[in-house]
Formats: sequence, structure tokens, C-alpha cells
Amino acid sequence: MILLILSGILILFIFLFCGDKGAKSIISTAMNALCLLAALFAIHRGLPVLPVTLCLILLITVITLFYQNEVSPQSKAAFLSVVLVVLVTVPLVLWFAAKANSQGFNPEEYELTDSNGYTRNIHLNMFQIQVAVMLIALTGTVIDEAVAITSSLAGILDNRPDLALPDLIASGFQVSRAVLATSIHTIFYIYAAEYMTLMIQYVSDNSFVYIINAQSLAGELISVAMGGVGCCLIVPCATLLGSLFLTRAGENGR
Amino acid sequence: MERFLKKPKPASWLLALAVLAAIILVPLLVRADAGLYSRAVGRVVQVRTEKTGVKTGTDGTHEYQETYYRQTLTLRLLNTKDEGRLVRAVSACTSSGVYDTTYAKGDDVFLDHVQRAAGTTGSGSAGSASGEASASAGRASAGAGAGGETVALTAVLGGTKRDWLIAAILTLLFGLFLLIGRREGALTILSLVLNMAAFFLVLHLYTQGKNILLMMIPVTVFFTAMLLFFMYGWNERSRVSFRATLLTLAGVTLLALLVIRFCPRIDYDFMDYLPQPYEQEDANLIFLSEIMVGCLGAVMDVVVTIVMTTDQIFATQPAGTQPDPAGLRTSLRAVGDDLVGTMISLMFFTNTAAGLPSFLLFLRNGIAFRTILRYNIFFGLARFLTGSIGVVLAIPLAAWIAIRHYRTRAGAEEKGGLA
Repeated sequence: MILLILSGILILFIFLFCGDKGAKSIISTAMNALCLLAALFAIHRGLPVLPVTLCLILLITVITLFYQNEVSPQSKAAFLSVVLVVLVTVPLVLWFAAKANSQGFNPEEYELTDSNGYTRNIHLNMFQIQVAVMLIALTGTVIDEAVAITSSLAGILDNRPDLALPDLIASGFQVSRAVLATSIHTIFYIYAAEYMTLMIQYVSDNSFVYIINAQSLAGELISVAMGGVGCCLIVPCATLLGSLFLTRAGENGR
Repeated sequence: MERFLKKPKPASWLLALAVLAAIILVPLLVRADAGLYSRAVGRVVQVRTEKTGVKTGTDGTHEYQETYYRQTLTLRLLNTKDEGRLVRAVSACTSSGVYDTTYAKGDDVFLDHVQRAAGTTGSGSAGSASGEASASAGRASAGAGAGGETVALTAVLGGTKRDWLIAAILTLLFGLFLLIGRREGALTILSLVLNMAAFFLVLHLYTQGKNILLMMIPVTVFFTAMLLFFMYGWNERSRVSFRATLLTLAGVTLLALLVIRFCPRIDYDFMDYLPQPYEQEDANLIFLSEIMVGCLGAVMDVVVTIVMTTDQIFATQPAGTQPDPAGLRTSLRAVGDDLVGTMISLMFFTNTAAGLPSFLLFLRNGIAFRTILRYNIFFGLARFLTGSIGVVLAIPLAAWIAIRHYRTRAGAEEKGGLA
């Protein structure tokens, strides 16, 4: 009910305040949600988790970059850098998740027990699912930042079309750093909101020693921090690739 | 500029080296801090895993085979008076690991009830576990122990030691901030630390019985101001952005408040991590605070971009003229349009991803999709929707405030110029 009302308000606002691209974003969000659901049901049906997740990530990136933001040198550069960053972070995520032993549900969460009629015998590898969660959240963040960086690069080039590649890269890095700071804050507040209840639990009844070793902190912090690491890594990728693609496209156009 | 790119200053090499060293050293140092704990810590040196049985779970149509295992671990004690000696412990685990842990070689684990294996079994909570442990320890001491040493102690596992991982991930993250973000990166670290401190203070006061939303509002106002003035300097643009951000946040929170008030009561039973038992009113306030904080960063992003564009349009106007209002509004809308799409997808994935494990758990429990939507991932979806509403709402509000501000200023300058 509430979700329906909120969606209604959102769609109404998008039609009122945005143009075509805004309207497109309704469709691409719906497509993204459908892909996510399809992936979930695929995992539920027993398909292997990590391949399904990687396919999902590829699909999300294609939809958000090429449907939402049209095919252009910017979006191509953004696509390549997102794929690159995801590939680089996969082993990192796997390593951290494996060391943390933080998969599954932790003592701070609502517990399912046989006595309230649920089964925990679900035959799904919770470790792989945790890795999937981290990668999906990371992709969402990284796409946003890649687009912000490559479109500001295009903006710079629009103002000074004769800029040489090294100069574009240099001024691109200046802009990307500002974008990095904004993106980090954006996801920081989203996660601060998401884990407010967990922080309440920590504050109310746990010791510092318990918290820094807790399964919940390790699990959630690694997933949040991986988003941050992705944000950092996309900066050089998107700036370099974006500059390269844009100057090359400019040369071909001339 | 170019020279800077081709020949990095020695300072940046030093910074890179220092960051690299910190990323490697800090986790290693923290990993070796077992001596600081009064609780016993052991490192797993050997794992033997045996299958103990298969249980079946069902979601009504399908059956799922869950394999149960017993792990017999040999650990080397890292602290306490028995440091360096071997300990035997057992743990039960499953192939899914929904509520349990499968240990691997090299894990550091807290240990309770460390005692001689030769003695009788422990009492109370240690009961069955250490009983089994001492049985297998007896067998293993015949020569199967790591390196032929005898295993004379048993213990009960008390969870993985994860402090060094927390240190590792934070060093990695902050190191990258500094390396890639430089000055902005350092400011970001400072701002994140201050933010966390303020959040913990507010939540601490909340647990003392204060109203969480009423305290979160001044904190939000303060952080909006701090961030804008830190990142973009004390200037006109920041002041305009400040007003527009607060207006948008107020709008979103009010909207959410109205929706919560006039809709059937929200069932908070399945809100992730909410301390149980809760009071309805209290949970509403927590949820509203979450909504307000959750869209802060994204709203600020949109507002700053819009205000910056308006500023530039007015700055490039020939002196004494006003930009065409219709054209101005179209270009601001186009700028907002560019941001909205990816921002909404970011909101979607960051807010829903964390709910996926429980989504799957409930699916495999045969719970209907609609029910999961209504209870389980409701909060993530609601935050996604309100966050997106904030992002969209920020466009007209920021445009309105910015246009009004710059137009009055331009008007005043015109008069000043004529006088």
C-alpha cells in the first residue's frame, strides 16, 4: 500500500519535473528490477550464484548506460570502466568475504527457527550470496560515478574542443576528484540510513571489543567499504578511458 | 598541468609508498594483537570435516537437501598462559551456512573454556561440545596432530576474530581516498569520521530516551552546512545550495510523514536489525530519520549541480540583461534529467541489495512473493522510493531557489549600476 503510494508519487514527480530521460528512467528502473527478480528466481531454482550475478551485473550496466544514457563515446567508456572495476574487485570481494566468515544471518538479526515454522535447511550457499550482494551494490554505485565522470569530460571537451589528450586527462582528474567526494557521501548517507537500526543495537548493548569482531559489522562494513573502493578505482579508469574515447571520437568527427 | 602528469612530484610517490605500506602493515599488526584480549584466541592450523547427516527442508513444492558437517579443528593458541600450545575444538556447520560458520585453515577464532583434555568433560554450556572434543583429541594425540605435537587442550569456539579485517578494509579505503582524492580525499575521511561520531552520539542519546528524529534534524542541518562549505567553500553557491538542500529534505520527510500517518500501520516486525521489542511510534520515528538521512547525499549532489549551472548561466550573461526564463528552465531541466536516471538506479541497488539473502531464505521457505515484498524488503524499497523522490524533487526546488536568488541579485546590481 505505502509502496504503491510512494511509487505513484515518484512517477508523478518524474513526469512533472523531468523530461524524456526522466521518463526513460522509470522504464529502466523497472527493467533493472525485473532483471534482479529474474536473477533471484534463477538462484532460487538452483542455478549457480556467481555466474548468474555476473550476468545480472552486465545486464544492469547495459540497461543503465546504453538505454538510459544512449550509445555514445561517453557511455562506451563508462561501460568499459565499470566492467574493468567489477573484474578487479571480484577477487578482492572474494578474499575479504572468505576471511570474514560473515555470510548468513547474524545474532543481531531476526532469527528464523524451526519453532516458528521456518526451515533453515535451504541448500543455498550463503557465502556466494553474500558476495553477490556486495557486487550488486557496488555496480549500482560505480555506474553512477562512471557516468558523472565521463559526462563531465564531455563537458570539458565541449568548451575547449582543441584540448589535447594529456591536458584533458589532467583537467579530467580535477573534476573526477570532486565527483569521488560527492559519490562517497551519497552512498555513505544511504548506508548510514540502512544500518541505523544496527548502530542503535551496537550503542545500546555491546562493548567495543564485541563490535569490532562482530559478524554483522564485518559483513556490512566490508560490503559498504567495497562500494567505496569501487568508487575510488573507477576514477582513474573512467578518466583515462573517457578521455581516450572522447578525443578519438573527436578526431574521427573532424 | 602537463608537467604534473608526466613527472609526478616526489611527494606523491612518497604518499603512494606510505599508503601501500599502511595497507600491508596495519592489518598484519592488528592481526597480531591477540595479546590485548583477555579472551583466548587461536589460529586454525588443521581442519577435519566429516559429514554427519542430511536434513530436508521444503518450501511446499520443492525439497532441499541440506548437508550437515562436523568440523574438528586444531588451533594454536595465540595468547593466554598456554600461548603456543595446540587446542582441539569441534563445530557443527551446514553446506548453506545460514546461521553457522565453516572454518578454514588460517582463521583466528575466539576460544572459551580452554581446559585439559585429559580431565572430565566440562559442565554447563561447554557440555557436549568439549565432551566430543576431548574424545577426538584423545585419538588425534596418537600422532595425527599438526607436526606430531600432542594436543592436550580442548575449547569451545566463540566466533571469528575479525578486528584485523575491519582495520584492513578501512586502511584500504582511506588509503585509496588519499591516493586518488588527494585534498578532497582527506576532507572526505575527516567528514566521514565526524559524521560517524555525530551519528553515534545521537543514537547514544536516543538509547537514553530522547526523540531520535528531533535530534537527527539539527545533525542533518549541521552536516549539510559543513559538507557544502568544506567542499565548495564559503560562497554564494554554497549558501544557495544549503537552502535548497534543506528545503528538499524537509519536503521528502514531510511527505513520508504524511504517507505513514494516513496509511495502515507499518509492521516493523521484519525491519532489519530493529531491536525487539519495539514501540510503533518509536519505530516510525526511526524509519523517518532513516528516510531523511538516506537521501541527504543524493539530494545534495543534484542541488549542487543545478545551482552551479544556474550560477554559470547568470555569470555568462552580458551585463545588464536577464537570461530568458523559459530557456533557463529548459536547460536546468536537462541538467537534472541527466542526473536522475543513474541516481535512481544507484538508489535502487544500494537499498535493495542487502535484502537479497533474506529474500532467498524466505523464497526457499515457500513464502509468497507478495508477503516478502510487504514485510521483508519493504523498508529497503521504501527508502529507495523516498530517496528517488528526493532526487527528483531536488530539481525544481533547487532551480526555483537558485533562479530567485540570482534574479534578485542581478536586479539589485542593475539598480546599483544605474544609481
